[in-house]
Amino acid sequence: MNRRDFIKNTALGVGAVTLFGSRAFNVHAGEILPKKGKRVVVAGGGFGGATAAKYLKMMDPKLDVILIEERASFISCPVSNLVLVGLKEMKDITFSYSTLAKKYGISVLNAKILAIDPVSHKVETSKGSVAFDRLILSPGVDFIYDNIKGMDARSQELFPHAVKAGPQTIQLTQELKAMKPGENMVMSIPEAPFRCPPGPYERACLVANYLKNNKKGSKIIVLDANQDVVSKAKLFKAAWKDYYEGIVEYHPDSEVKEIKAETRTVVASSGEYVGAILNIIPEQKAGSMAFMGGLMPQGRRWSPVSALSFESSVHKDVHIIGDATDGDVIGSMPKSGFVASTMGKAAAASVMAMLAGKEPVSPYLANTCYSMVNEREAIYVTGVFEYDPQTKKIAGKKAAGGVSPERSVLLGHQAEDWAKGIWSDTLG
Amino acid sequence: MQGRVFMAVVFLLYAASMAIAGVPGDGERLAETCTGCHGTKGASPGNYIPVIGGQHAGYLKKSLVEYRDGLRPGGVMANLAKGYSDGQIDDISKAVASWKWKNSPIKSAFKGKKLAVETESCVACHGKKGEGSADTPRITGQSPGYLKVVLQEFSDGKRKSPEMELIKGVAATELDKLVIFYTRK
Repeated sequence: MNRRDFIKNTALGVGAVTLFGSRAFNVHAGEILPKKGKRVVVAGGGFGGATAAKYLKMMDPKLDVILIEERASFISCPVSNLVLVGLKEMKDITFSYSTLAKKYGISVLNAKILAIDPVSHKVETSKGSVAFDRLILSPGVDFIYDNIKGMDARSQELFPHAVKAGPQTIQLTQELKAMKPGENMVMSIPEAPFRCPPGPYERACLVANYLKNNKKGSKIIVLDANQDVVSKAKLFKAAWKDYYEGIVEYHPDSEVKEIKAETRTVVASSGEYVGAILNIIPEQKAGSMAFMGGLMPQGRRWSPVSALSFESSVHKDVHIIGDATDGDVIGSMPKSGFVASTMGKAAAASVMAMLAGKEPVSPYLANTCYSMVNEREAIYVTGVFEYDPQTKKIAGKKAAGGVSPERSVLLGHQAEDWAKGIWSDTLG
Repeated sequence: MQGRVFMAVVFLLYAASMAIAGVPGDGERLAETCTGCHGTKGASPGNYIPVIGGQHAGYLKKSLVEYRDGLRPGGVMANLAKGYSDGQIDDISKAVASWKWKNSPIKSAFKGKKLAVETESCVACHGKKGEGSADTPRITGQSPGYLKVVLQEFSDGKRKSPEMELIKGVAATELDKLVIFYTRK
């Protein structure tokens, strides 16, 4: 019985319906943080949302900004592959939201989003409903298990994706540690687009490096639903050849069809594979809040938004940023934390303009992403993106997109500093 | 001539009316894409990624152009700089230069009494306090790892600059002393 039923039943029970009035039945947990001036609510405190909230406050310290996030702390997906193999610890990638609250005056609400009403401009959370003038959603990604037979709730727990850094990162770390020499890990990669395109391939490198040093005779079997490595292909393959020959076993065109939990078997389009560890990364879709309030058109899995303002194509006054956005609608960009962060800044600027009754301003986006191929060396990919008023899409500047000519130790140092930079820009 | 001046004034007034209170202009918004790596307002928290906020605009522009044209070894910057027009590079440089310089939080440890290092030649261009000016970068308080990489590039001849010729072939141990001098606690 939820609170609403409770009120209803109790009211009827004591025969005092009139006491509550008809409106009482529409109120769930009641409004919290009553709105006074202009307010922007940011839902989702990942790279996109946290950055948007911070940059809104940097533009106008007086603006009422509420950041709603379910998790008590921020856990970074970048660098989480290093945690898996013991090169970093969870505490190295876990950060507090307190600086955003103290230094910038953002109201950080630790609550779960339950519903969104774009029409009455309200967000229903586990702690009560919050009103907004404009809403920025940073929903992240969610997972589609329907296409894999046997991937029931139990299998989902047994075979972690570890794409969202958190409990599954810890689980996979422990499994790797406990794995016996000679046993194998199977990792599956879904068809693109998915969060952090180089992520699984970096994981293959780092796990292979770990196996090489700690588990003699073990290997990582990579089942890729794509026809080839999706990001930094040449560089990753060079690392596999030079460092991990016989340890990384790469199978392109291998879509996972079924999981047999009892025998720890993956049935893929290219054959059957057994692993002591199954790291199943399923197909992805926008995070759950992108599907609330009628914001997701029927049959779609990524959010359609304006490429200029990131305002939802379905409802005005609601902006959607980050991995959840539909590349077919706004222009193709990698679903990376860095892109999400620049989208957060761009959306914040347009939201400010639109609050003032002006036109949105042109977004400037970029991507910089490093991947470690072992404990010292890194490679990178870059991109610069700009809005094209002709096509009404965001397009990459060809000359600015590309990968590092080679892997190097200096890039490894820069990779570490990259993380420090983006963490501080997001949360510090 | 007068007509042109009039048109210019009209354009400026129009441009000013376009600016929205509180919303950063194009240069600032372009520059904000840099801060994902270089830290908010260019105050880099890292060792190998330089502080850029408050660096001299002339030097920032020169660097971006050199990265773009392949005249300076650049890692990600060699790619990223190719994504911007001359005008945008100008705007980015001005915006980043307008931010306040913050010394790198990473400082070189030096325990001795006096650092035996020859800095007279540095002072001539970079100023008494290594503060730089115009096309010459501020070096005091820069990220130590980055400073060492740059000095090594000049020493190895990988990066060309008539002013920095004097450091060509200088041993790494001597470069280390210079880094310590300009980034010490």
